[in-house]
Amino acid sequence: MTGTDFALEGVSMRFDALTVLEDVSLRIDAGERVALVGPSGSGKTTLLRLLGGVLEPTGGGVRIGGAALAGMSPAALRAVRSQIGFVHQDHALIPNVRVAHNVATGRVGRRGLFGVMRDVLWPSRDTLAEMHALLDRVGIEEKLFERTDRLSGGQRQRVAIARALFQQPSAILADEPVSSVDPSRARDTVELLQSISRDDGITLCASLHNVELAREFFPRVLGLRDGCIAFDVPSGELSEDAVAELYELSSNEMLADGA
Amino acid sequence: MAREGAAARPAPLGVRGQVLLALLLAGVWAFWQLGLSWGDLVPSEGGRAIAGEFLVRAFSPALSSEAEFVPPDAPPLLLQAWRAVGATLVFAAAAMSLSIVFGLALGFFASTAWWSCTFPAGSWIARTLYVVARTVVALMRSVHELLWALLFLIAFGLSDLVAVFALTIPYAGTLAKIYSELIDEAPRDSARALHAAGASGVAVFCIGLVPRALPDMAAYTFYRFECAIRASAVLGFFGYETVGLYIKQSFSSANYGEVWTYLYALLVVVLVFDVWSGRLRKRLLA
Ligand SMILES: Nc1ncnc2c1ncn2[C@@H]1O[C@H](COP(=O)(O)OP(=O)(O)O)[C@@H](O)[C@H]1O
Ligand SMILES: [Mg+2]
Repeated sequence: MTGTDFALEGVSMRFDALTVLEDVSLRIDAGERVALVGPSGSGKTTLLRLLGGVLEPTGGGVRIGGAALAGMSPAALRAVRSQIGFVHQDHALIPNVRVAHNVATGRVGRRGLFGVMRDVLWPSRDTLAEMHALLDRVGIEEKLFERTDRLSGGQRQRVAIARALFQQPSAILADEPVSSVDPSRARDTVELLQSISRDDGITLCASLHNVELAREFFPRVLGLRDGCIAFDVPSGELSEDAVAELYELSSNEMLADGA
Repeated sequence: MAREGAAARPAPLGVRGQVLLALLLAGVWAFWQLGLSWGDLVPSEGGRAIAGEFLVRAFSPALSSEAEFVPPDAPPLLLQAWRAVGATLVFAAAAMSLSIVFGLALGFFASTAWWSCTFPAGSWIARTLYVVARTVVALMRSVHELLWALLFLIAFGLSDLVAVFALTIPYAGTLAKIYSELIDEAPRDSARALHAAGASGVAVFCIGLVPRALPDMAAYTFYRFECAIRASAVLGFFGYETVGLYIKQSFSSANYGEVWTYLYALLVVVLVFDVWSGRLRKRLLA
């Protein structure tokens, strides 16, 4: 498997009157690992959704694997999305079915509705073996046939990662993958994502609250603030000042606080 | 600050309170309009005697026929009751099977989620089809099953298939309405995940949304099945071979013991169904 590359070209994102991203340009190369840091509401989730081809920008263009998304047919767009494993912050799993069923839904873009139905109701030997291997890789092999809502937050996080991997993606976009687990598990999870990206050569872009983890596991760190890229540096060159400034209350937030 | 506090004080009666008050007043008005008098609840002398006679037999249901003339080929009473209740169940099951199929199909089309998954946002075709689906479903529900049965009886005569359809039409409508609402209220997070993984609109709907609504849909369907058993029992009063037919016959010849036998048989079936469906639901959904 090889990674895919992403490009945002002068991208703006507006929700009605609210401008979330303003003229953002950015390239992520195939196989790169990028951490996205920034305070809450700075637009990290929005940026990831744009990269995943889930959200259409109100200005500028998005390219995935060199292809511009604007004007793409719905089917072509779905094909692009099926190449990208998205790990949602809230996991977005189906709680009242087994883990294996949730994992099977990952391949819906390629297999279609009936393919997934088959993998759920009557999986082939190969599919089962593949799911076992995937769960083993994310460290919860014994949970394959457990009901999803019986798992802990950290285990569900791993199911969400396994579902994204079952997609056989060429990139993984992870939205705050460690926001629901305790610090020691957070490290394990980020390490897992890093090793997946490295071993499979797939692109990884993850938003993180923890700058330390970003620095440790990602060669490149991107800081987002007030809808703009505040810094975009190799993690070795990330200064404490830049981080402090990123998380410092912005002037209008201070006003709101003082009132 | 003080002025802000005063402005933030909630109104003495919120919107919810006002609605509840209006409903309460409407209820009082309805009673007044009907001119109900509590005296009507006290039965006449003759009525009291019949009621007493009937109620006493609750403790001694008939075990064999009480009729003065029993045709020689008539089955024993208990076998008769067993068959009548069986026929009642068969009617209910046939009607429910059809209702579930039509209810699912109509329920999908009557949900906003289906159209928002399969059509581009704001498409007028989707809006029109949605309104059509909801209207059809409302029409099916607006006439009671017994009224459908009566209409069909007049139009087609006594036919089992027609009786099944009389139940199916309003039941499919009700199931469709509830299914569509449950699907529309289901959490959307897994649908979002399916969409991001490149699923088609139909796949997003079927895999991302429907499973989230399924436990409630199943629970409601079981409840509706119970209603169908009762409705199909009452169909007997129109001449179909369900338990209602025998209850009516025994009642009109004042064989109250037999009436109770049939009622108890129906009760047993409803109770057994309740236990069975409860277990099945646990097995299916746990
Ligand atoms: N679909 C949407 N509609 C309206 N506003 C949105 C939507 N999605 C995000 N926002 C707004 O955009 C801003 C950035 O959100 P988000 O990208 O989730 O930030 P982050 O993930 O960094 O916390 C927030 O103010 C949020 O309320
Ligand atoms: Mg976010």
